[in-house]
Amino acid sequence: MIAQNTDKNIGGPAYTSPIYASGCLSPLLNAVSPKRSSAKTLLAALRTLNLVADSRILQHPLRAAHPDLLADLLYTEHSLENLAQVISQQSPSWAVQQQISLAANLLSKTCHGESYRRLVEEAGLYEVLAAKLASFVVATGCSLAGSHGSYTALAPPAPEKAEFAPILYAIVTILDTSKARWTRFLAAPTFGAVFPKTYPEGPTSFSARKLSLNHIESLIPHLQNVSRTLPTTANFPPLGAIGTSSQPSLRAFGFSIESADHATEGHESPLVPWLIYMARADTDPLARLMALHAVTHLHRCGLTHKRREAESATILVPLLAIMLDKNPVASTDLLKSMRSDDAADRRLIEEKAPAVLAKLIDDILDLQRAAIEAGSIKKLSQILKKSFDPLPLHSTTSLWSPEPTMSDRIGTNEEIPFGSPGLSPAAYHVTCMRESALRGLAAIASLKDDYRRAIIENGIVPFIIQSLKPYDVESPASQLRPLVDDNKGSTAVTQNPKEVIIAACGLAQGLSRSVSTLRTSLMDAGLAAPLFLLLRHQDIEIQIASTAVVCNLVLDFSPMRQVSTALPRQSVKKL
Amino acid sequence: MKRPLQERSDRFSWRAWQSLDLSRRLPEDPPATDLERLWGNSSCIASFSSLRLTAAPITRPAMARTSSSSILVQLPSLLSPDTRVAALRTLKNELIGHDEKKELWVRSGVLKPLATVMTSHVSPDMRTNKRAESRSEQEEARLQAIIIVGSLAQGQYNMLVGS
Repeated sequence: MIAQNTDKNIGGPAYTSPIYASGCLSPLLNAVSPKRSSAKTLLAALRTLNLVADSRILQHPLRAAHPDLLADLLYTEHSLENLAQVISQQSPSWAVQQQISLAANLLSKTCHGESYRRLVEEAGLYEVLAAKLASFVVATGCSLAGSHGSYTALAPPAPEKAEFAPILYAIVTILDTSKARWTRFLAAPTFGAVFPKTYPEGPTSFSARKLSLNHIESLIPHLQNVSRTLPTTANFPPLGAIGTSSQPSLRAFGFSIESADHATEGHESPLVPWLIYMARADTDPLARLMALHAVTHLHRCGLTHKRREAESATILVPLLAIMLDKNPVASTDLLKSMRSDDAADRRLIEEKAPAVLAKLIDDILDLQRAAIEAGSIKKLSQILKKSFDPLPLHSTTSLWSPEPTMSDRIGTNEEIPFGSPGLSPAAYHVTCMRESALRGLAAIASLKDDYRRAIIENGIVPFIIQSLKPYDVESPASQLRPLVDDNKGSTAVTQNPKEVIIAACGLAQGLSRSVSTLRTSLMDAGLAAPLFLLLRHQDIEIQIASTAVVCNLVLDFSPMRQVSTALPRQSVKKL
Repeated sequence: MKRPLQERSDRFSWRAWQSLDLSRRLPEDPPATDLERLWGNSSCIASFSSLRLTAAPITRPAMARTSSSSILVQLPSLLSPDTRVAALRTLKNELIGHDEKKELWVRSGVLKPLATVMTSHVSPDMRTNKRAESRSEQEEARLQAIIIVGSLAQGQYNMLVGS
């Protein structure tokens, strides 16, 4: 059996099961405590926990179905309090800042699901993370508190070696798109200290506020014309609900009308313009992506001003489109340095950027137009096609197989059940990219027919069909390596986890809303057969997604209908 | 007596063991087996040899497992703290970068003793410890055990964000 394993290096993911089984996790989590461990031990423990979490992600692409011992042990009051202590450390030393970043990373890797998010909130991590974020605001000099002594004590500036991206990534993962959670987060006292609303000094509080809010607003470019997104207005200052017509002269000079807006809308935290500023700043790309991610979530929750939409079209969407490029200009020198940290960052950007774009432009026509003008369709299509390329040979191409392959290798091993080899990191990266690209294209395809035509013209449909192929869980041959396409001798990742399939169904659904000519091209490509197979899949979410596409396809008087009647009646019964 | 051992030496690189000069700072341990006489007075080797790891030919992992599994369980209790630290350090150097050895050791059940090492440590309150930078031997052993578990968990690529 050893000979059948072409790849002897079973790597990290397979060790996850023995590590879980041997009870190593509890002492590791206990070591994560600044009071009870030295700095080195704490750092090593956090690194190890992150590595276990990474391997866990690789091991189970269907991980939602499997309970995660690490997450169960981590999301307890005791462990979360320890994490909060770690993150709230203030020392500027490199080791402590690394600990903070690693702790934040651990949260972002494991915090999925409502129960975990609630536990995080109850453990008081919101305040801790808010304090960290506020310290970055202060460090960039954007705090509105000025030189008020009492305020600076609450939020000291972040040290030089502090890393912005992990903190923001953790915040974004925990809060997701829930307006309630974001509102509670933004209500943290540190933000009140950093962005105070009232001033003890100044001629009147109103004018002082106007000046101070201009401070951050002046960091991002102004737009004169907000009329695009508000259908009731032309180029004149908007009347009605916004109520800014009182200061048209200021507007003409390009001053921000934030203050008047603030009086009427009053909901946007100054964090939003600061995040936009950070997204445009010349910091590392991952930090910019995380800032964009946060702004996207806030936008989805409705916690931003209406006019931010217009700003998004001209500011945010192009930034995201640049990130979709294969080799962003900013990181050419990183390629030369070949540090693994930067490679990991770049991979994360490649995985996440299309999904963030998708979330931003979903259902908003102006933003979709902006995305297309930035060339997103072509870029996303290229990403999708690239994800089907054969994996590089030097990387381990151990792909996931549902059965553990080790059990009959060397006698009976009663103590240590090795887990399955799991996906290789390259394969995981490729599936993430695939899912993101599909989501991005689905967002573009959701509204307008022209865009759908453009997507189909890019030759995407065969790849959609390939993305609909699920894991072959029931095959008896799954003990070996079924995922490598032996016929062609290539090592492309051909089978897809649930998220990819659902994303592909979303794109198919968006495309099938088009007129019948486009729909026949879908039919010609053979979209129907895999969809009907998916109707019978075990997972209910996949069934729902595929049913939605099928609805679109059978509704019209098109040849597709005849195809569907020719199919076995079981599928109709299934519906 | 040397020859049979050398023939069975390919897996664990006994030459490497030989070249390790561990006798510098380790206390004396009573010699346990014939190997003591072969390898000199290195206490770390003595502790491992007393665990009879060398008795099992490594080329047949099944046999190695049966002998070393029961033995590794005794690892934490057998050794005094400072030899434990040295043993863990050596184990760490053995494992990092050598995937096959990782597999063999995990099969032999090295994880449970490591967990025991990590839990048996009772750390003093770090705030009252005046020598903030010096670590007790127990803390050091714990650190080494954590690093070993980390290297076992690590796959081929570094996936940490921003670290």
